[in-house]
Amino acid sequence: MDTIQIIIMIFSIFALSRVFTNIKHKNLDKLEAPFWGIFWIIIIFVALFPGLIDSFFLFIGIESATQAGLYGLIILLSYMIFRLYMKIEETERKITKIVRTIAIKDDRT
Amino acid sequence: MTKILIILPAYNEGKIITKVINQIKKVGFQDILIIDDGSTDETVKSAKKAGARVLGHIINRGAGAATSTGLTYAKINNYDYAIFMDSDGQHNPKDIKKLLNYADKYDVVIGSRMIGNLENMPIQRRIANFIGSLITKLFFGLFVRDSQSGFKIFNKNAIRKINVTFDRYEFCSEIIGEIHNKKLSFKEVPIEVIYSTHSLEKKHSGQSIKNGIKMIIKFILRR
Repeated sequence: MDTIQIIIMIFSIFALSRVFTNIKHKNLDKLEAPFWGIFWIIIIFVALFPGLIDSFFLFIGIESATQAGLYGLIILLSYMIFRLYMKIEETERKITKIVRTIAIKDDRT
Repeated sequence: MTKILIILPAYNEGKIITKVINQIKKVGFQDILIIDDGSTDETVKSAKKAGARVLGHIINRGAGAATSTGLTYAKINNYDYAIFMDSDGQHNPKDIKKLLNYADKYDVVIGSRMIGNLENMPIQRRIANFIGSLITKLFFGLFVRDSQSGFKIFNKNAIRKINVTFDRYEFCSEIIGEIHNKKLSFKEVPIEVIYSTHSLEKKHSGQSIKNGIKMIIKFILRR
């Protein structure tokens, strides 16, 4: 097994564990959870059997590994933006909760 | 005795808030709560001077957050009815009694600008309101003619059940979704709208095209 395969596998297993953590904390809904779960399982599978990916790429019209890497990167970046958005939303909600608590508390004092 | 609370979420309405409070008092409602959403002008001072109670957000969190604070306050203090109105003077306080006539039969009474005489309403607003209602139907499953109306009455059951999580202008659609999901009864009642220069000039209108697009993106990402 090549080093790159090991790196991709370690990263994918880590990402998969994050998906499970988010499912546990209910940060992902019914559609997102299976999507990201299946996505990272496929990546692990591809890292284990890279030969399969060539025929798949040919089938869907991707001609080179560079092209595939680019698409992969776009998907990865999209995921990161999505996670960032979720984090900001969560933080915004927490700020609002604090602001509300202070407002109501101030009224009582 | 029935406990009724008039709630006005307000952000930088110092120029008009006194007039709005006085008009509400004139039609017989004395229990008025201003949710000041981090105003930087005279809103708080003017509202207190006019005899309203003020609950203050230390920083601006948006109309949805202010509405949710109002609902929380009404729940904590066991109010029978929470009546929300815009603080820019676009709603006629005389319509409160008209809406209250339906409040014992329905969980939520919505003051609708889209029923009856629409001549007062600028055409852009009419189109924006209609699009807002269509988006609401698409994402939350219920069509009401004026989903973006800020004039609403919630009874005790609705105060207890409705949960507003969107901080900004998306909250109006979310409330319609809550009515649908929690199987609350509702009625749309025509109201008069006063479009003053002040209300039309407001920067924080929830009905601009830009805000509409933002709203759709947020709804998609929350799904």
